[in-house]
Amino acid sequence: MSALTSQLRPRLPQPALASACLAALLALSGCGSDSAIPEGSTLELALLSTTDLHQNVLSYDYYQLKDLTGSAGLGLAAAATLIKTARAENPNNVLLDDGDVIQGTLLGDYQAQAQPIPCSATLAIHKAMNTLGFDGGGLGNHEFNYGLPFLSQTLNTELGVTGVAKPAGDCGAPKFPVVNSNVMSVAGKSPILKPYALINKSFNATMPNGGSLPVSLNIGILGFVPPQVMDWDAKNLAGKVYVNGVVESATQYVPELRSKGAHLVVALSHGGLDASPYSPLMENGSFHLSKVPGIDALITGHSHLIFPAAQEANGPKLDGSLASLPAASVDSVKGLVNGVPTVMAQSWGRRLGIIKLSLVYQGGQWVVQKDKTTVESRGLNYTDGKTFVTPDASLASLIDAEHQATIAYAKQPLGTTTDFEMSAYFALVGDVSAIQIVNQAQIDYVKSFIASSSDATLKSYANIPVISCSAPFKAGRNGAGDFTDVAPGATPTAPQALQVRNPGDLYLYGNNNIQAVKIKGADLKAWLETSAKQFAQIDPTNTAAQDLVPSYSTIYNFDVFYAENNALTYQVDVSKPVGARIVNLSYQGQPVADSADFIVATNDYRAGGGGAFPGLDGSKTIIKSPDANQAVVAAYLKRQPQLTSAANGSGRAWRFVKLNTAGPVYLRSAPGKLAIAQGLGLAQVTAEGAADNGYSRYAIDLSK
Amino acid sequence: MKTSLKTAGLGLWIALLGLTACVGAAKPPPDSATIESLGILASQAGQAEAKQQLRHWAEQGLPIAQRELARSLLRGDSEAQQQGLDWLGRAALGGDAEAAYLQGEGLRLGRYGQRPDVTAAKPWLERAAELRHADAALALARLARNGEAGPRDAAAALRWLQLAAQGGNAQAMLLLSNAYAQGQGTAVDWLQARHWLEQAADRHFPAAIQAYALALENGELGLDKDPAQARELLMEASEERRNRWNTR
Repeated sequence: MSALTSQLRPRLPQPALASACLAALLALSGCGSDSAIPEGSTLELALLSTTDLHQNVLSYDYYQLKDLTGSAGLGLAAAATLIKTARAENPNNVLLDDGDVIQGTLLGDYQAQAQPIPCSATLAIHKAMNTLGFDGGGLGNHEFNYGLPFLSQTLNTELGVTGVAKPAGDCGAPKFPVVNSNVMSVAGKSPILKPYALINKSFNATMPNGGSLPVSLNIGILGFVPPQVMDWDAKNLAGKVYVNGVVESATQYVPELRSKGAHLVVALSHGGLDASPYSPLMENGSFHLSKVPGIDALITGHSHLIFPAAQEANGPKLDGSLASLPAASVDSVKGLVNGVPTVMAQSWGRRLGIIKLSLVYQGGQWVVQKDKTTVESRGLNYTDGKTFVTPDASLASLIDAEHQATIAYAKQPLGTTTDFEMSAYFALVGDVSAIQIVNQAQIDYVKSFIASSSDATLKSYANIPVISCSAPFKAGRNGAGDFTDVAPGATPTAPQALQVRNPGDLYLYGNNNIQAVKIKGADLKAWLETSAKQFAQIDPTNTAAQDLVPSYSTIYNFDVFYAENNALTYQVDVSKPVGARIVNLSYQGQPVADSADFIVATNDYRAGGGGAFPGLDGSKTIIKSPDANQAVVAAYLKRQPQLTSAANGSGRAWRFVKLNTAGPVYLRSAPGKLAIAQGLGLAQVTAEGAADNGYSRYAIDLSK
Repeated sequence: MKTSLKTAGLGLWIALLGLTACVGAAKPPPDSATIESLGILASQAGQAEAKQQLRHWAEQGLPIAQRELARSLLRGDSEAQQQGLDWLGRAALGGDAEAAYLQGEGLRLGRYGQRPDVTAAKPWLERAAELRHADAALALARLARNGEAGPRDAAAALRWLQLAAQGGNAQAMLLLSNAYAQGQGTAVDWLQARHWLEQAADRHFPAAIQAYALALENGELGLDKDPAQARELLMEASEERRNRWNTR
């Protein structure tokens, strides 16, 4: 917080703060008195909640085809066990979800994009939620990732947005109300979903004489997404919807919900806690939402954090961003924000939010006894901090068909073949069999982006050469078994089909978005020098054995460049110190001038300063995109009828400056791969030698 | 957090509100949230009546209304953009940090029909940064690092990065972490490098999450190796990449 803003803080109008104190009194007046309920009766009620499930039903990694059950466990099937236990502990309960449900795993992409489900089908995660008997839910920002038509279909709801029509008939959807109070249709000036819902639940109260009494309560729910969806999903949303601030929306709808008979009002706020001054444009509005009169409880999310602090033994400590919230307003042990019980159940089904409210019937209405409220963000290992709950097997059977179909999809042919093995065993001596295709895909993407852009500045770059870089991400970093090796054994006489999951092998980091930067020739040289830091400085006079690449820990920073037709070439002189190794850098046969312009296709990590490459600080980025590098590679591969070594695997931009060494130089790689080096025509790799922590030492003759 | 600095201009206005309330002005002007809500209707929903009300308030001299009006005009044709730039300038001169930033970035990048002019951009960015606008401070840090609109100045770059990072800009935090790790404009300081990398990752900036995850995998910056947390962080980054792909 800046000095300036903190000085101004006391001046901020805070009418909501004072009235928050009245909230509890107002809260339960909605339904009027019910003469059948004896004064002094009590009702224990638990609000159970999940958030940010992200289409994780099972604990499974579809790219690695790996079960994650255990300490890395997650998923709604695991949370279902927590739900079952919590329901047993709290017979009067309501189960709610706070959004970011439909996107996040390959299962989600499969059901939305690869094989979009028909209207008649229900999303796997919704099926699971229906089975678990969720009572209500809100949207998250990721609900817009697959576009409004898909959202309309999978919620079986007309959104009232121009150009978006729900398929005819009843579509598979949640059997519980899904609400949102702040996303509005431009055409209709009205909310795209029901802004709120009343959930009628039958509970058992306890009369003063100890007897049990069935009562009926209306739980009102509202829902909010971060206004940033307009930027994040601009492609899907611009001109179609607008997003009002969360406080303004709540201020409008809470009284309506009350007047329609809500006994309790629960805000499903898909946003975190940020105590800086309120703006309708702020991303994490839950703190300010807590000050809107009439909200009894807040279910929060989006930040994937744990609030209140984890209670299990040896649990994670409170996240720094939550710990720094003003203690006068936020009790992160009791889970109170401006006095309103508030929970955040992390993400991916790893926790269950449990807000226990104790109500007493006083003066003809149910009143929350605030001092008896408890809040917990319960983890999968909540019993002792060690033992993880066993996932609910019935959910696995319920969505088994979808699960198996997703696995089959991951293994399915991509639609292209390769006549060469794409590996990274010898990427550090110049092989590009697993890198060139990534660079070709990235160049293709960036060239198309510029060619089809309506932006005047981008258009003016049409004649600047587009080059690309990528790294051998899997090249021994996690041991001798950690090398990219796609289509092992593929040859021109025995080509192999690539699978859907192979782009994930060629481009490891699924979190990267493609970006393009515009740089000068001098920047390119500095970039290459930084990449070349991976090599040890080889002393030609040294008679002892020298390891060419002593550490693979930052091998993701070994950027290998490529230009179409291998027009960019450079050499690396490993006898020189860091910063003076790149020689003969040329483009189309001409030396690259320091002042020459280049556009480089890369990723958001590198362009934004990852690896601390000189000059790369985000300011040179000319293309930003929500498209993943992995997806760019996949799309490009699908368009290639076949990959050949000649066209896609042997365009080596760089080689070593020839060097006679007095002693042996070696490269560590996976054992038994000498034949691959020979097959690639890498004359420098002369022999396989002694083992070293599982790696073989391959002799490298730098004079060749 | 980020919003706190972006709304520093709003803060100024709210201070003025406070003062006018003290001297007993007849009709209090609308608060910042009210104006910004109208800005949403004008810019996102294209509602003419919202734009009209903003214009009314803009003409009364309310900087936030001038900025929000400008924002909606800058989405229009070249004539509207010209008006938008005019209002943006008035809002900036009236003390609105976001308007000064938008004016500066518009000039730096050649937006809204203008030619890129980094020299003309710099004073606007400086004005915004003086008003504690974190994104403007980052822009100035980059100019200083890269020797644009002046000589390269690593020490000045570091000061701007510190200001931007303290103001909550995650990209600046990542760059500040790098500067401390590499000793750019400062002595090497691993503790600071680690602190700002953690802070940047906490703000969900995907590049920083990845950098932090890789540091955890490698046990760098004095971190204990933690492949499990690194894997989780990369999963987080995979979700965040869909959100924060266009971060300032």
